Amino acid sequence: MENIRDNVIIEVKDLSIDFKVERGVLRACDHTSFDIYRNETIAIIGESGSGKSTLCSGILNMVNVPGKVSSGSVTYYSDYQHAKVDILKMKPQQETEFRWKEISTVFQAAQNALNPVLKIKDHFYETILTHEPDAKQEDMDEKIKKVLGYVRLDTAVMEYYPHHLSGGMKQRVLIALSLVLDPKVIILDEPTTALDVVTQYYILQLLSNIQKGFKITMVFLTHDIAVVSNIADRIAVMYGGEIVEYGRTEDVLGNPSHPYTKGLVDAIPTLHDDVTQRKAIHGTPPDLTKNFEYCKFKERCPVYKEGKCAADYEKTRKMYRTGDGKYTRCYTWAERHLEKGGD
Amino acid sequence: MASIQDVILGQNVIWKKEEIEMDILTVNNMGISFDSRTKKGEKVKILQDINLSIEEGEILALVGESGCGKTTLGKAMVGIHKPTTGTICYKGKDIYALDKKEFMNYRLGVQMVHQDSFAALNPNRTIFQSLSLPLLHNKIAKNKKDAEVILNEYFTEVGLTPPEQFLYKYPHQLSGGQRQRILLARALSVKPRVIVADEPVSMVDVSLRIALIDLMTRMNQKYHISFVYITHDLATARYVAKDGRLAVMYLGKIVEMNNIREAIDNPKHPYFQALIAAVPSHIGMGKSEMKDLPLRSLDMPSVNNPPSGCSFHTRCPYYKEICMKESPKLRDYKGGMIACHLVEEIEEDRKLI
Repeated sequence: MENIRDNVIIEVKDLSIDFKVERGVLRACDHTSFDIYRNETIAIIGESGSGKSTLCSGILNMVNVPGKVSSGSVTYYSDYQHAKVDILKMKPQQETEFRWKEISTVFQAAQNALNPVLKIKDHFYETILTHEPDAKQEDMDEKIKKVLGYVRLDTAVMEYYPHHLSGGMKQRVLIALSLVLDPKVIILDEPTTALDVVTQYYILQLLSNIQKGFKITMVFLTHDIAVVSNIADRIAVMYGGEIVEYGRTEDVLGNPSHPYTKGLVDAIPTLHDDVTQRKAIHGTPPDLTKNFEYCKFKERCPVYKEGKCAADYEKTRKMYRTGDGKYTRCYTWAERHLEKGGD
Repeated sequence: MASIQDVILGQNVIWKKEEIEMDILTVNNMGISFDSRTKKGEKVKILQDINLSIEEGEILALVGESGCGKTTLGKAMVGIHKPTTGTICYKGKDIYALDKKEFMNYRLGVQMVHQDSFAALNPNRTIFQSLSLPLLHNKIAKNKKDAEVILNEYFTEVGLTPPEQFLYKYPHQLSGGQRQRILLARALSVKPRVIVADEPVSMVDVSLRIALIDLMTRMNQKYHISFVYITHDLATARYVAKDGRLAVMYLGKIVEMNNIREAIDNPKHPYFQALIAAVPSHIGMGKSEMKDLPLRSLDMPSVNNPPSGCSFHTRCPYYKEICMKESPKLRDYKGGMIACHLVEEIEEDRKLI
C-alpha cells in the first residue's frame, strides 16, 4: 500500500522504554510499533500506568533518567519527499530546532504547565525567540494575537499572569502556545481532564476545527473513550505498555476485537444507554516489572476465565489483522474472526 | 456495643417506624456566605435559597460545574460549614440546636467520602490506625481487637480481600481504587444513615469506576443508607442514582430538580439542556460534526459579582427582559422543580424544532 506509506508522518518501530526501579526493570513501553498518518487525529487510550505518556515522551525523545530507550526507533517524515529524521538519534541543537517547530505538545495538568511568575505573553516570546532569535516585537505580537484568536481568547490575556485565568482559559493558552510555530504534529496529553463538561466540549470543538482548518496531525492521549470517540479518526488502545488494538474509531469501538477494548466500551456509562448493561473490568493492571509468561491481560480476561484461551505469551508478541486497517493482539479473537470468514 | 451482625444482615434490620416516615436530612432556605478575599468586610454569597430533603434510603445526585457550590453544600450537610441563613435538620431537628449527645449522633449518622483519597488518609499512619480511631473514640469497638474484627468485615464487604493485606499498609502503598474503597469502608464502619460522596470516582480509572459505583448502590440497598452523590459527570450520576433524584446547581442555586430519568431524558432548564448537550454521546459511531452548544458564553460568571436577576441570563440563549430583573423562584413544573421564568415558552420552542 504505497499511498499509505507516503502518508506516514511518524513511524514508531519496536520502541521499548525501560525504567530502573527498586524492584527491577519496569518496561513501560514494550516493543511498540505503529504509524501516525499525516492530517489524521489519532487517539491513544489506556488506563493510568498503561504507558501512553511514556510512549509520547519516546516520540519526543524526552525520556528522562531513570528511563531509557532500550530498543527501537522513531522516524519523522518531514514532508512528502521522504526526507526523514531519526528522532531518537538527534543532536541537542537539532532537537531544539525540531521541537515545537515540527512537533509540539499540550501537557497534562494545564494548571501547572505555565510559569506562575511570567506573563502569558512572555511564554509566547520565549518560545518564538528560541527558534527565531531575530524575530521583531511587532511580528511576534501579531502572531500571538492570531493564535489567541484561534482559541477564541481575548488579546487582553497577553498581559495577564497565569493565576488570573480559569482552568479552561489556561488550557486554551497552552493550545495557542502549541500552535505558535505552526507545527505539523501536536501531541495532546489528557487535554480535557480536570475540566468541566461544558469547557471540555468547547475545547474539543476548538481542536477539531483547528485540525480541519490547518491540516495538523493530532495525537490525543487520554483515558476517556467517550471524549475522543467523536473527534478521532483512529484509536490505539494501550494495555500494560503494549498497543493491544488499533484501527478506525468506529471499527474499534463499534466492534472491538480485543477483550480489553470490549471491557472498556462496556464499562463506560453514557447518558442514554441501559444502566443494567454496564459492567466493570475486574482486577487491576499488571505489574510491569515482572517477566510475563502469559498474555498480559490473562488475569482480567473473561475469555481466559471461560477456558477458551490458553493465554500463550509468544502468540501475543505480534498483532493480527481483523479488518481493514484494524489489528489486534488477541490471537483467540483473531482466530475466531478468521473462522467467521472475515476479510 | 451494638452488634455489627444486625447491620450486616441488612434487610432484616428493623428501623423504628417514625424514622422511616421522616426525611432524614433536610436543608431549609439555607444560604452560605464567605468573607470576600479581595474586598475586606464584604461577603460573597456561595449558596442561596437551598431547599432539599433527603429521604431514608434514597440516592440524590447533585450536579453542576466546578464553582457552583455543590461541594460547599455537601460540606454544610456534614456540618463542616455553618449556614449563614436557614437551617439544616437531622431527623427533624436543627443540627446547631442539638445537645452534645444528639450532635455526636448526627456526626456519626452523616458521613462523607472525599474526592481525593490520598489527601483524605493520613500518610504517616497505617490504614488500621486511621480507621480504628473513630471506632474506638465512639465506643463502637471496645478495644483494638474488636476494631479489627469490625474492619475485617467491612473490608470484605467493599471487596478488599483478604483484609489483612490492606489493614496494615500505608496509603501510598495502595492504588487509587483501593483507597477509595477504604474511604467507603471508613464511612460505613460507623453505621451512618447518610453518606455524602463528593466526586468519589473522578480520580479513579474508567475501568474501575463502575465497580465502585456498583458498590455504592449495593451498600445503599443493603443498609438502606441514603447517598448524596456530588459530581459533574452526568453519566455516572445517572448510573448511581438509577431510581433517585437529580438536582442541578448553577451559581449557588438549585435550578432544576426531578426524577433522574425524566430529568436527563427531558431536560427543562436551558442550563441543564446545555450541560446534557456537552456530554459526549454516541460511543463507537465514529467522527461526527460538533455542533455549537446552546450557550451564549463559555465562562461562568464570577460569584463575587453575580449577574442581576436570573444568574444564568448572561449565558442563556432564550433570555428576555424579565430575566435581567427578577430572579426566578424554584417552582413545581410537570412533576419536577424548575427555576426559570420562561420554561413553558422554551418547551414549546423545542417542540417545534
